[in-house]
Amino acid sequence: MNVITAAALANFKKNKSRNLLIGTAIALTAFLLTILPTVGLGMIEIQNAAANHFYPIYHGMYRNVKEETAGELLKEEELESAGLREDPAVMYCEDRDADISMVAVDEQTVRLSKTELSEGQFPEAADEIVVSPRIMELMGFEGGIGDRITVPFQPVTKEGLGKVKEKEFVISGMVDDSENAVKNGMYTSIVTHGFAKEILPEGFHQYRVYFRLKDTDNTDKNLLEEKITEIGEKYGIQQKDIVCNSEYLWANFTDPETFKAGFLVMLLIVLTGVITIYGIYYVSMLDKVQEYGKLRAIGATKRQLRSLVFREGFAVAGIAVPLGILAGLGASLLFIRGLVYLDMNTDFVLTEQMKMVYENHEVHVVKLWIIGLSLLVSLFTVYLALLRPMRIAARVSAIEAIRYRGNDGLKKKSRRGFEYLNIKRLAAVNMGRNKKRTAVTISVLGAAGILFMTAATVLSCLSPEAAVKEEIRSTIRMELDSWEGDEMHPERELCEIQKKNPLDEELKERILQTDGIKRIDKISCINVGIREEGVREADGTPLQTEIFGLSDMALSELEEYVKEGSLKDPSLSSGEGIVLQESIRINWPVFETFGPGDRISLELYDGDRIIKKEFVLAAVVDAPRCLGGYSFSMPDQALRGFSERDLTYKYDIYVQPGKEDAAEEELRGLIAEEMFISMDTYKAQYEAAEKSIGMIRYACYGFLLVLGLIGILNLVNTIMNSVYVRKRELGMLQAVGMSGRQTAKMLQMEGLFYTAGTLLLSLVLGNGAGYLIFLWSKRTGMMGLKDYIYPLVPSAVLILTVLTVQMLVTYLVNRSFRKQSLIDRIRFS
Amino acid sequence: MKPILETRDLVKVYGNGEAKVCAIDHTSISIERGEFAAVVGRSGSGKSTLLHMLGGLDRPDGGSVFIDGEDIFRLKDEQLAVFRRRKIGFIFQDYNLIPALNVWENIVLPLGLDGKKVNKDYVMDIVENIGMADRLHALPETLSGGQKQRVAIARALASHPAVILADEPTGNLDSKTEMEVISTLKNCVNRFGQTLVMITHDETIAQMADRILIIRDGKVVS
Repeated sequence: MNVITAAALANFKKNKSRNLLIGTAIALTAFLLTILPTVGLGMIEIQNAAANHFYPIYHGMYRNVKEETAGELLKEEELESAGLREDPAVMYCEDRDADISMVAVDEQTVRLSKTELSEGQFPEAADEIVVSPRIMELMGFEGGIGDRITVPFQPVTKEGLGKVKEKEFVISGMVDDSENAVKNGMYTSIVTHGFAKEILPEGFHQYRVYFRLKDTDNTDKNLLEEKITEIGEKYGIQQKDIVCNSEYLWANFTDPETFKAGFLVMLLIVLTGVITIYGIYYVSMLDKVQEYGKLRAIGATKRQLRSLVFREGFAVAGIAVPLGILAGLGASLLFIRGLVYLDMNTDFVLTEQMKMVYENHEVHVVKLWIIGLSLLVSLFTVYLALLRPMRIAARVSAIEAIRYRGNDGLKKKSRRGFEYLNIKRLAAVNMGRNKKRTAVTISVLGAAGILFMTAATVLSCLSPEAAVKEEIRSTIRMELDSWEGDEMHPERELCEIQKKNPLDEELKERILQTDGIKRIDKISCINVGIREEGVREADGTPLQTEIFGLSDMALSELEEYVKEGSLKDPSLSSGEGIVLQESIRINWPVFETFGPGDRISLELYDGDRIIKKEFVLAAVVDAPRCLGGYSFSMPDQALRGFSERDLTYKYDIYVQPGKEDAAEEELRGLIAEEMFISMDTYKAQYEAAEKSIGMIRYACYGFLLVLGLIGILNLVNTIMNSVYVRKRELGMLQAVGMSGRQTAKMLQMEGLFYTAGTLLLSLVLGNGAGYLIFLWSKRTGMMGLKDYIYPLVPSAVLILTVLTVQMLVTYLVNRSFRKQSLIDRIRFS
Repeated sequence: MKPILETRDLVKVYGNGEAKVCAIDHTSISIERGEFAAVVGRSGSGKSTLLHMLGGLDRPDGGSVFIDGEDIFRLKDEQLAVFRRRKIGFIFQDYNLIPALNVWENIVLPLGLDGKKVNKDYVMDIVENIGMADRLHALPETLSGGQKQRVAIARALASHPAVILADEPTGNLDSKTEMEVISTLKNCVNRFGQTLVMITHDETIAQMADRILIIRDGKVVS
C-alpha cells in the first residue's frame, strides 16, 4: 500500500462521524438511484407482460371494411400482418336472451386476436365449426369433437337478420365460455370464410381487418395510433370504424415522457446527493486543510493531495454504495410486491394477470444493468461532490494552510455592529457573517421541504373522500348499465333500456321495504347532442352527452355548488332553462364565455325521435359528476316533460348507519337477475379509492422520505459545521465568560434560525406551490382534485421532525463539544 | 491586607504511570491587589498551566485558588463561567478576538455576556487609552498584531475585573510593538487600578513588573 492510500485510510478511520454522515448520504443516494428505475421499469414490464398475456396482439382493427378494400389492406406494404374476420350469421336460438354469433376467422386473425381453443382444431372446411359447452347446451346439441350438429342460423344481411336456414357442421374444436359471455348471454362460435361465402353473395361481405404495423421499433403509442388512423383514412375507412388496441399498444410502446420524467427525477437525486456530500466535506475542510498544508510542507505534490481526498472519499463510497444498492433492491422487491398485490390497477383482469406474472417470476425485476448504472451514477455523484474539496486540498500551500479559516466570508473591513451584546445578537452576528452561505444553506434545506409540502398538499387533496364524492352521493347507487355506440349491443343504449325501464316503481317499493333503507332519490337522464360550432365528436357529429334530471332534494344539494346564476330561475321549472357544469366551460373554449342568460342549442335523443331545442343557461355549477352530471342538469319534472319514456337513470339510496352491509346484500339479491342494472356502494368506492390513492401516497411519501432524510443530513451537517468550525471561537467566548448554558442557547438560536428559515420556505412556498397545482388541477380536471384540503398532518410532521432533529443534534453536538477541555478548545487551530 | 489572588498547595498532573508529569507541584503564591506580577520560566516549566488554573480555565488535581476571597474551584462550571467574566480579564498570546465582531463589540463582549449595561464613558476611556478610538467599527482581520492585542487588553479591562491574567501577550509581536503593548498594558493597569499577572519568558518585560515569580518544574522557586 502506498503512502497516499495509507494516509487516506487512516483519515477514513479517524473521521468516523463525518464519514458516517457522508456514508449515509451516499448510501441514500445509491438507494434512490436503485429503487427508482427498479420499481419503475419492473412495474412497466410486469404490466406489459400481463397485458401481453391477456390482450390480443393486433395493433389496430378496421371495421365495416368492404371486400375489395379488405383485399387491398391484406396487401398493404405498411402492415406486417393482417387477417380478416366476418360475422356472417347468428345461430337461431329458442332462448331469446342468448345471442350466439357465428364468426368466420382466418389463421392470421386467430393469431392476432389470440383466440385459443380448449380442445380440437380451428375449422378449415366450410362445414366445420368450433362451439362452446354453453352453446351446445343452449342449442340442445349433443356430442363432441368430430360429431355432426345441425345448426339453425340467420344470415346477417344489410337489412338485418335473414330467414332461418339450417346447415350440418362437424365440430372441429371446442372453446371455453368466458365469464363475460355467460354474464351477458353472448356467445361466439367459429366458422370459416368458406361458410360465409356460401351464405352471403359476393359484394355483401363486410369484414373486420385485424393487423400489426411494420417497423415499430423506436416508436411510441401516439405515433402508432396516428399511423393506424392515417392508413385507415387512406382506404376511406370512417373514423368510427378505426379501432386501436390501446391496452396492447400502451403496454408495449411506453410513452417516452415516462422515461423523461424518470430521468429528471434521477437528476434531482444526483443533484441533492452532490450538494449534501459536498456540504459535509466542506465542514471538515478547515480541519483538514491544515493537515494538507503539513503534507505539502513535507513534500506531497498537488496530485498526491488530490488523490488523498479522492481515495478517502471513495473508501467511504466503497462501503456505502453497495449497502445503498442492496437496500434499494430489497426495498424495490417489497415495493413491487406491494404494488402488485394491493390491486391498485382499476383493471381487474390486468391486475390478476400481473399477480400471475409476478408469481411465475416471468419478469426479472433485479437487473444487472440497473445495478451497474446505479453504481456508476452513485460513484459519479461522489466524484462530483469531491471535485471542489480535491481542488482546495491541492491548492493550499503550507503557509496558507496554517492561516486557513475556511471561507467564512469576512470580506468586509468593518461593520457597524451593536452598542451592547447579548446572546441573541451574538447568534444574529454569526448568521449574518456570511449571508450568502446562510441563504444557500436554508435554500438547500428548504428545497427538500418545499418538495415535500408541495406533494403533501396535492396528496392531501387526493383524498378518497374527494374521489368518491365525484362518483357517488348516497350509501348505495343503482343505475342503468348502459353504453352508447356499440353496434353489437344496441340494446345497451340508454333510450333502449329506458323503453322498459327496470328502475320502476315496483322496484322502488321493494327497495323501500328493505330493512334500513331511509330514502331513495331518483335521478333521470336523457342523452343529448350539443349543436354548437366547435363542439363536435371526431367524426363531425354533435358532441354526445346527457342531461341529468334532478329531484328537489338533489337540486337543494346542488345549491352549494352554484358559481353563477340561480337554481331558482323560473326558466328551470318551465323546461326552458338548463344548468351547465363548469367543466364544460373549461374543456370547450367555445363555452368559455358562456354564462347565465346565454342560449345553448341541444338535440335530445328520445329513441328514434330527435328533439332540437334551445335552452337558456339559468346557472353554472361546479358540482360532483354524480350530482350535476357531466354537462347539464335541470329539474326532474321538467326533463321528464320531453319524453314519453320513463327517464329514470339512477336511484341514490340512503341507508341507516350500521345497516349498510345487510341492505347491500339484500338489494344485490333484488337485482340479481337484472342485467341492465348495476349497483355500487359508497363503501366499495371508498375502499377502491383509498387503495389506489393510498398506494400513490405511500410511493410519493416514501420517495420524499428518503429525499427528506438527505435534507436532514444536510441540516445535521450544517449544525455540526456551525459548532466544529467555530470550535476555537466558541472556546474564546467561553474563556471570556460565556457559560455552558449561554453557549447552548446561542447554538440553539442559530439552529432555530436555520429551522425557521427551512420551515418558512417549506410551508409558504411548498403549500403555495401545492395550492397552485390544486387550482390548476381544479381548472383543468387533471388529477381530479376538487376540494382543497390543507395538509395539516404532513405540516405538523415536518415541523416536529425538523425541530426535533435540530434541537437534538444541537444538544448532542454541544454535549460532545463540552467533553473537550476549554484549554484544548482555545488551543485548537 | 488580604491578597486578591492566592493559591494553596496547587497540584496539576498530566498522564499517568511512567508518562506522569507534574506540571504544577504543590505551589502556593499570593498576589496583592494592584500588584503587577510577572511569572517567568522556561518552556515547559508549567507557567501557562499555572495561569490557566489561576483563571479557572482548567481544574487542578489538588489545592485551591482564591480570587477576591472566593475558592473558585468550589464553583460549578456555570458559576465559574460567571465568576470568570466578572472577576478575571484574559489576554492571550494570539489575541483570541471574535472575528465576526468589530472592535467595540469585542471589547464589550464580557459585559454583554454578563447582561450588564455598558458604561460607555468608562469603555471609551479605555479605548482612548489604547489608541483605538478611530477603529471602533473595524473587524479584527483588518488590524495589525499590536492593534489586536490592544483590543484584547481593552476587553480584559472593560468588565473591571479583580485580576487580569496575560499569557505571553507579546509573544506574537515584533520587539517595537512589544514594548508599545506592554507600556499600554502597564499604563492601563495603573490608571484603572487593576492587578496584573503576566506570563513571559522575556527578562526585559519581566523587569517592568513589581514582582517576578520564577517557576521551574512546576514549582515557584522565588
